[in-house]
Amino acid sequence: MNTGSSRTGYLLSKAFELGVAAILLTVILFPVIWLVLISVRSVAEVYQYPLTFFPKELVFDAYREVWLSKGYSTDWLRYFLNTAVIACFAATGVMLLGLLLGYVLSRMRGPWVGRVQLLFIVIQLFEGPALIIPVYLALSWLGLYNSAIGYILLLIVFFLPFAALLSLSFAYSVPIEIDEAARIDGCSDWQFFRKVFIPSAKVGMVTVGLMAFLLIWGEYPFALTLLQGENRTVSTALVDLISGLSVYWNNLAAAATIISLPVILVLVFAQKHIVSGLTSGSVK
Amino acid sequence: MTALPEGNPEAALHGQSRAFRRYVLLPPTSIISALMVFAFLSLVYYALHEVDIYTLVPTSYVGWRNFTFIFSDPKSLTALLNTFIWIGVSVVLITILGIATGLFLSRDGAIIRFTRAFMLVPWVLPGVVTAALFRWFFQTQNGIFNSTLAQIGFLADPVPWLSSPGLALYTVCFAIVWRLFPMFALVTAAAIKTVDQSLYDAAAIDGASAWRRFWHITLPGITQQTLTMVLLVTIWVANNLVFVHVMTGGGPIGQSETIPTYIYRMAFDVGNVGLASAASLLNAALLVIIGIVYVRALRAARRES
Repeated sequence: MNTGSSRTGYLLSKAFELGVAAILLTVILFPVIWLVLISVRSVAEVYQYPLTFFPKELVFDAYREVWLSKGYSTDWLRYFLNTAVIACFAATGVMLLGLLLGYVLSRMRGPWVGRVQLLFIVIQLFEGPALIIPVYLALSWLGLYNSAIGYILLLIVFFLPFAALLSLSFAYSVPIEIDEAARIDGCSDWQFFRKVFIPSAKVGMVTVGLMAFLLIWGEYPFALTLLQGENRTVSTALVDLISGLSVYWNNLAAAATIISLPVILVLVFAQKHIVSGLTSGSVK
Repeated sequence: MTALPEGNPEAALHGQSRAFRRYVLLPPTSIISALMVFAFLSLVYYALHEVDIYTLVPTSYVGWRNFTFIFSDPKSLTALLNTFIWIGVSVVLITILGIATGLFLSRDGAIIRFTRAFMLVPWVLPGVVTAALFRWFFQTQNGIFNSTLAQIGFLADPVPWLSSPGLALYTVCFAIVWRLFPMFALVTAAAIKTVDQSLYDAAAIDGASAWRRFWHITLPGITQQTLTMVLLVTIWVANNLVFVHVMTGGGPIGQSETIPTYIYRMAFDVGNVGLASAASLLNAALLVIIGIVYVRALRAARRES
């Protein structure tokens, strides 16, 4: 093989890669870019035909209207705050409890390890519309309907199995020799978990917490059925903006852009963690 | 059942104190089990009764009536059929696109690395944002999709993507495929990287074609991870409420209704909790079947490897 033809081959393969990459990135990013570009237009321009890709002039009215004016039954800053508080508390709870479960399961032997894992896998199968009615009933009876606390507790129960299984795969990477050394030093299990295990499983812990945050931030079916009025989260409030007769798509885009920011930021700053969480979860 | 994992072989049986393990394991497992049992019993009880929508107290025993209604009423039959189409079409497309894109993303170099960095954007966006975005995209009048097609001369008349009975469900499928296939691809690419490289070198010496290398080396090498992803995606799609709910509301005239939206509408809009409970049980039964099929497929894959 002479160098000329292999060089042509190299260029061809790079050209192929560029072409496929361009198609992929267009498919993935085009809708998202449209979303941002529609949010900075005036209503008049949103309903213009044909719509131009770039807005004729940048107008931030939609942001002002959604985020700064408190309507008769809309208070977007509050919905955002609700969602942030709920997601942070629930994700932290899921992360710490998941890690604790992962720690215990990774140091166990015998049939119960498998049984607990099976339970955790099976329950995740049903965490969807099939549970809407029972969850609604249970939380109503407990007096926790339309309460952020009830919703947070539910999220912790729902996402704990996922967090525990993910933590388990990370917990195996903390060598068991450390346990024995610490035990000889007179460390109790709880002390060991706090002072030795958490610091050495930090990367896994952050991964579990961020994954939980991503999944919880956009949770829809249970937010829809459990939280009302001023207690709503951004997910369910967004639907209000398109359920009326006349839809202001620029307002919708302005709301959607801001509520997507937290998850995009997590992705930008912790892509590595998220990818490792996704792959280690499915390798099993 | 497949053999359950037996835990960490290096762990001494009494490494942690028994009490500590009990304190940690017992509360979450018993809460989860209790929720499952409560959910099942309450759904069965409600499904067999007529339920008052205000007090949620069952008023009269109706036997199997809710179930026979679901299997005879055209609207709920449409929802049932749609659920299979919704899961089938979406999962097949996500898997094919995911594996094809995953093969591409498993190459090396700056272009690939750059592309990979954006793959998770659709997956991290809140589902409701994606659904609303595509509802706007696929509007008949003034929708980006129609106007783009019209501008490049592909289309004379605007297509009613979300308001035609035959098309609406497939348009919603497009949205969930967009959300999930890049993430599937990323995981597949990571799996492909773990396939033993020496097998490819041997195949290159034998002069095996690219297709044969894919079929005989890559695909068997990633079967387990792919099956797990397929299961995960199937569960996500089967349990997904937000896409149909936000993009079409199950319409037009119930033609894109799936079991999840049917459950929600029956329970919270129509107020027939008994019927909604029966539909919930059917949804759960469907998920059990999906789970069993998966376990069988995984077992067969393990036996082959």
